Amino acid sequence: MKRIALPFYATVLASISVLISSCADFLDVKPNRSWVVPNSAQDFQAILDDNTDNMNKWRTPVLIEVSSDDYYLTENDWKSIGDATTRNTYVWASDIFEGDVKEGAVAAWSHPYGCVFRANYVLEGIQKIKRTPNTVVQLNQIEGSALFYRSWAFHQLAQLFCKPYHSNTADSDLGLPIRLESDITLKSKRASVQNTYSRIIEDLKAGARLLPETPVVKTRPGKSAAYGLLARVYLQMGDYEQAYRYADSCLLIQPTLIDYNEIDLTLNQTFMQFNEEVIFHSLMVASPALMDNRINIDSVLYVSYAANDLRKQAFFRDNNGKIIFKGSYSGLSVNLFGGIATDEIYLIRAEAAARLGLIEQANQDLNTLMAHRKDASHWNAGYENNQAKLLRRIVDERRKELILRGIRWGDLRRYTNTEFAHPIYRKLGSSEFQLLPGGDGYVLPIPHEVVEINNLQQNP
Amino acid sequence: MRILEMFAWVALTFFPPIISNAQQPLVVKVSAQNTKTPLEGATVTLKGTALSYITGKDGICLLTDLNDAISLAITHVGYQPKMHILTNTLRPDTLFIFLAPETNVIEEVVVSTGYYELDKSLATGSFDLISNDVLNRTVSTDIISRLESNTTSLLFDRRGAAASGDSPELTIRGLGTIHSSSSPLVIVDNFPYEGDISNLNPNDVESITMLKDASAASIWGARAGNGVIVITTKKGRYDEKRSITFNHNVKVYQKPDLGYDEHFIPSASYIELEKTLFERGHYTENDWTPLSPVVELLIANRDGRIDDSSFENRIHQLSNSDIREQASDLLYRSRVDQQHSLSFSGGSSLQNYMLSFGYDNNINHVVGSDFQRVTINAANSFKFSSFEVSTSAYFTNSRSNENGFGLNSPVLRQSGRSQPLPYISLLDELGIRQPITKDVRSLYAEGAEEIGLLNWQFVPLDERDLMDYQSGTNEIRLFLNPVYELLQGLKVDVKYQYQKQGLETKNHVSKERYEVRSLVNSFTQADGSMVFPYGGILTSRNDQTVSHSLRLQTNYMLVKNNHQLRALAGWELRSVDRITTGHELYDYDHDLFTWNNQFNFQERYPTRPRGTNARLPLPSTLLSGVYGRYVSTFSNAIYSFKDKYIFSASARWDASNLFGVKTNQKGTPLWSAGANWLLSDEEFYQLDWLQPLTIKMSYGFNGNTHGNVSAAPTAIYRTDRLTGLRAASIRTPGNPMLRWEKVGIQNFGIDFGMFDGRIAGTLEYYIKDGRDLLGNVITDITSGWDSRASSYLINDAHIRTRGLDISVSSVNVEGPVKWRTNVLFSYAKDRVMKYSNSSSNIASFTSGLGIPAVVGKSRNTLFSYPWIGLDHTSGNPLVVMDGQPSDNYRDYLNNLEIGDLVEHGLSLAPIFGSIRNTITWKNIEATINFSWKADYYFRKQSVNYYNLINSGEGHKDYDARWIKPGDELTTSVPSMPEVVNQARDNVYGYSEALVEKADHIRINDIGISYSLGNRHFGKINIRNLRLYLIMSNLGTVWKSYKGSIDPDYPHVDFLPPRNAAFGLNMNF
Repeated sequence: MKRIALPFYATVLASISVLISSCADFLDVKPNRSWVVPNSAQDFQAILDDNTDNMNKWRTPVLIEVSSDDYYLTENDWKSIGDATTRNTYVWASDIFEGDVKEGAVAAWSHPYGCVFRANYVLEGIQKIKRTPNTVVQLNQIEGSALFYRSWAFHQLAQLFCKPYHSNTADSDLGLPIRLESDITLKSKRASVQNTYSRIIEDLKAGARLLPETPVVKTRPGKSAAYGLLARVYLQMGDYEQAYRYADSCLLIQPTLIDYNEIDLTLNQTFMQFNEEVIFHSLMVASPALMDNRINIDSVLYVSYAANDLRKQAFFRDNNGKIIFKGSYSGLSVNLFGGIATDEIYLIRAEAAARLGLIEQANQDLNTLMAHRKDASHWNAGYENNQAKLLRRIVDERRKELILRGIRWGDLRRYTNTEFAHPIYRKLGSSEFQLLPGGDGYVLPIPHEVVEINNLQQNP
Repeated sequence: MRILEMFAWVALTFFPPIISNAQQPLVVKVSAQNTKTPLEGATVTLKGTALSYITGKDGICLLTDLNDAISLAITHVGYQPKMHILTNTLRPDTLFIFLAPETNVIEEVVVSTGYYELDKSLATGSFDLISNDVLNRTVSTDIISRLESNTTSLLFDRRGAAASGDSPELTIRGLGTIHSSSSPLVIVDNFPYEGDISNLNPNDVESITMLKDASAASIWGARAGNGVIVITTKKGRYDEKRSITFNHNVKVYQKPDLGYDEHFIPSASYIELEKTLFERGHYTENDWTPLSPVVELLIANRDGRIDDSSFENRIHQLSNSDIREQASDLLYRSRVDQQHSLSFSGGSSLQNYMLSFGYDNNINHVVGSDFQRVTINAANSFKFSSFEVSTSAYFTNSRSNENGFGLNSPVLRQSGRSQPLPYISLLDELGIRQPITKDVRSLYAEGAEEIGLLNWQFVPLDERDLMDYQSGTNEIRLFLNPVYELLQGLKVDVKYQYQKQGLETKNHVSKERYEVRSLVNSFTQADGSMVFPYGGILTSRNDQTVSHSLRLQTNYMLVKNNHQLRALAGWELRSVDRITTGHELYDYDHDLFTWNNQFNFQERYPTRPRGTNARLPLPSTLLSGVYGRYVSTFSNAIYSFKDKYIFSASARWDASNLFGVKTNQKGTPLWSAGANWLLSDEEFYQLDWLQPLTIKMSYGFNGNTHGNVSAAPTAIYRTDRLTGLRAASIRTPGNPMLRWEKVGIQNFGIDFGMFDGRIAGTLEYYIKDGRDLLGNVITDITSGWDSRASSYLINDAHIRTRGLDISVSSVNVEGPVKWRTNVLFSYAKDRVMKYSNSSSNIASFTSGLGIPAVVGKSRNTLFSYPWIGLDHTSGNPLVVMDGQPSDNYRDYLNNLEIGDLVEHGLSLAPIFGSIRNTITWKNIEATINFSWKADYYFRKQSVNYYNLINSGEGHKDYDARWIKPGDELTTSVPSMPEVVNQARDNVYGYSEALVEKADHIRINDIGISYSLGNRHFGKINIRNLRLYLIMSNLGTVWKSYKGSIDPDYPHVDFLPPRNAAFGLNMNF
């Protein structure tokens, strides 16, 4: 008995000790092969590249177009929209959410903040990675991208939930909760509009220094995108010198325009995604109000295109008597393009130049753009000496160029108290709705739950 | 109160028998072999005559007419029967007969935990044994369904079942968790079963033990929080004669009753609705928006393409057509399940074996759908002095075809609809197969071939002929168990199991199928070139689960004088890997096995009929791996003194890779302790009629795991379609404080016997506290984490379930006719004790199966909106705002608080049970099993105008809607609104007007069996030939709700049809 027992004990003990010592490795197997606890530069870049929803469609809330005036809906089509938030936003109702607490209802707030969370998480994560000559390029690019994405989200949110920037009231107007940490348990407080815009600009400038001139794919930002966004933000803030400067820097990197004379205007979707004009690619989530089966392009806008203007064919098509949009730079009919393209930057430089009195430059930019938009056989370059008339022409072309791009709403807001301000209207059957320049409808209410949890001050 | 009623009812069902007979010559005294006590109620049958006698209280009966008798047969419930041959020459005056106790009576039950086997009298915890007899009462392809109504505290929840075949959710003793799984752990033989338990052939199962409290289950540690079901398969026995068992049965079902589903609007009403919507301009007319046949007729008539009279004719024709009639004829049939099993077993003193084969062949309700399964089970054991080795191998292969569709399948739906139109036909009057509208306008589809496209029509019956969808499972389980007895009473036991389960599905869509034609057509370019390949599509998927389990265990047993000690300790390691792969092949040729996936998936092509640009759909590919790693150490000890005082203790430490964090946070210790006191063995105990009586008590902790949480933030990788880059999305924001969930259980029980074993039972009361439970915290969406989209769980919640389990069995009548009753009664009710961030979303309290966790309420509370009726002039549902009736639903719902809701009670039965009666007469045994559920409510469905108009989801209540003033007195169904308003639909759909009491009693099954005893057919000697017939799904005999809905199946397409199984069982 003893002769068997001893070796047996020894074997059992040995095998147990071997097994226990390998236990740690045994338990370190990831429960799912595709899961990671992000810790490398590659992981953080992959988080920023999560384009399916989180980092692409989330960053530009589609309500910015739903509330805008490029289109109208018939009463029946409007009624057939299931989502209350969309219906209410269309008529600039004071409570757009209607107590709807579904995830999608508050997407205009939660989605951009989702991008902010990811950007913050990445910014914190890369601090822990050692910078070596091998990693510094990639880490800079990641940091610059994260700063850019966060600014992008803040800027979109500011256009929906804050008053337009006016330098004299910006310090007292309520801005956004500026979240700079990924800890989700922290409470949110509203900063001022001034602080909100300062943060956006500061981060964009810091980001621009770290980014490559042009990115590998257009869903990532390059210096061009950061300059483009800076130009857009400064234009809205009324700082035309800076707007001019950054538009100019942007166009130095990417000046390409598509010549509409050279493309097939009969296609059902005229443009491809990532086309030559796109500086930064960004989509919006599909909105039931903007689907082909409901949308009607504003008729005044539609008739404003001259006969030699190729944009009329490139952007619109007649669908059984209904004018619908087919000119999105997203290449899709469902998801609109919400990014940055060179045409916008030309228009920014032109407008800023005109406002700064650089008449020559403004005329030149306008002509460059028009040469790519008008029928070459029926168009000649023009020149406008009068600053006010020139500005009017630029603003008119801006209206006709940047359709359903997430830009019009910002323009309507910044035109408040200028000669370009005008009320906008909705009509549903016999009911009429009007949004006056500077009206409360230009600032959407913050979702109730956010106001309650953080005890925030609601917008009027 | 309700419990008292139950008791009274139970007591009434028992009436003790008084059948006795006594005259002259031979005195027979029957006693128990082990205790030598006289046995009352033993039956002494005189073979060769029809006479039988029953012993009295002293165990004695007097036999009078002995003339022709050759032998006596002596039987008593709970004891092995005995034969006594009478010799005429030597006949004593008094014949002493000793009966040996049967091994499987309640007092002698052996339960299994998967770690050790235990005589139930030594168990301090809560064990339920479901014996082979009970498991074999019913007939089914799987084993789990045989547990229903045959055990306490196991509830089958079918609230969420949408089809009658959907598997129910199982819970043992109510809830112990909030967000983790509440399903019990299933063990087969010794290890957790990974994969689909329906693979197991019920004929291979010997018994099932349920472990319900901490003392019973804590040996399973971190996975035992929801209770454990231990399935023990059949094995050979040492010193047993060779035996061959054959079992065959056929189960025939009725055809499904499609009228059960109330989501149906009669054709005539539906057509009226479509006309109304048409007049309102609801329908968009273009090539790509599919329109129903009636809307097409309306358009044709408006445009003058058909005249009024043929329009009316056609509408009239459609009004009289009902898809359910054709569906019932053409799509469904009677289900037939066949089961065959053959097994060989036997053993010598050194070796034993068991070999069994099973074959199942089921023809399902839906035409084109069937299932076959082959199982082989082989087990062997060898003994060499102090060394014993057991091995077993289990093999399963199953195959099923799903080449048909039912009424609720998407096949019959127009795209965007959730139901088939009520008036469509599969065949016309001439028997010609009819197309239905699918994704494009029927006009466009009809003209497709004229513009050079492929046929774009969808003919459901043609599609069915072409369907080729197969799935199959292969499973292999190998088990090796050497045991070495080191010293007297000390054994080293090593167990190793390898299990591999592979599930494969293949869907071959031939090029003739609509799916291919439609893709090819929509990508056909203006020049007629086909961008999408015109060939078959093959989709296949393979899930493979491989597990290794290794356990080293030492068992120690010491019996000395009055002391008995059994102890075990061990160490266990398990790994479970599950790999899923899948792919889709385009341009697939089934005859040549060729395919081609090389197409331009980046290019956007204009598509028909709409003209939008789209890329070719990428062939789907799938690759995922899930890995479980578990390490545990465990020990258990049971000490018994004089067989009267029993103490037990158990401890276990678990670690796993589930949390994906530092090792020191992965482990968790769990323990339990319990005691038994055999009160009736005490000197002072005097109640002779109440014997034995054991009091037991236990306390301890079980754990529960949640596979989807993590302490560190984790991300999941995939390839981004847009850019082709690697992308990672954050799946959890991380929680550094994460711990395992712990369920503390207190259990108090009494095991009792009464009237010399005529009545035996168990009564248990328990309190189950789920602590450190993961609770979803409502996040501030500004944080960037929306807890509605992806939950954010922290260990902060507490739920308590209290309950009672009673099981009583009795022998009511003993004699030529025997009548036994088994009564099972369970009560369980949960209450949330702590939940820091309860939802304030009022809608989540009324819709859905359970409610969000709220302190003080059960998770299964049923809430609804108060109902005050319909408006007299508009038929709108009325709500009360500021004390006034109103129809401002939006503001009403916005301002509603939980306190304003009507709280009905529970939506899941807190009280349930069953009563099984068995009557035996000669060779015939009849059983009937009733089950009941009480004190709960269910919500009926009704018409929802938003769903009706947007997705065509109907309900028969539509015909009962408010139409004109005055109707509000007779109906609560709102009028059809001008503008659909979901708030209006919800105010009605989730109102108290639609809540009904769900209490009911049903006949679970009725069975009858006939034993022919031993028969000889030529040289073959057949033993225990038994024929049986069992009918099940017999429906309710009483229910509180008077409508046609069965409260246990509120949402299914049809009730599980009644069925009858006929079978035969024999031994050679």
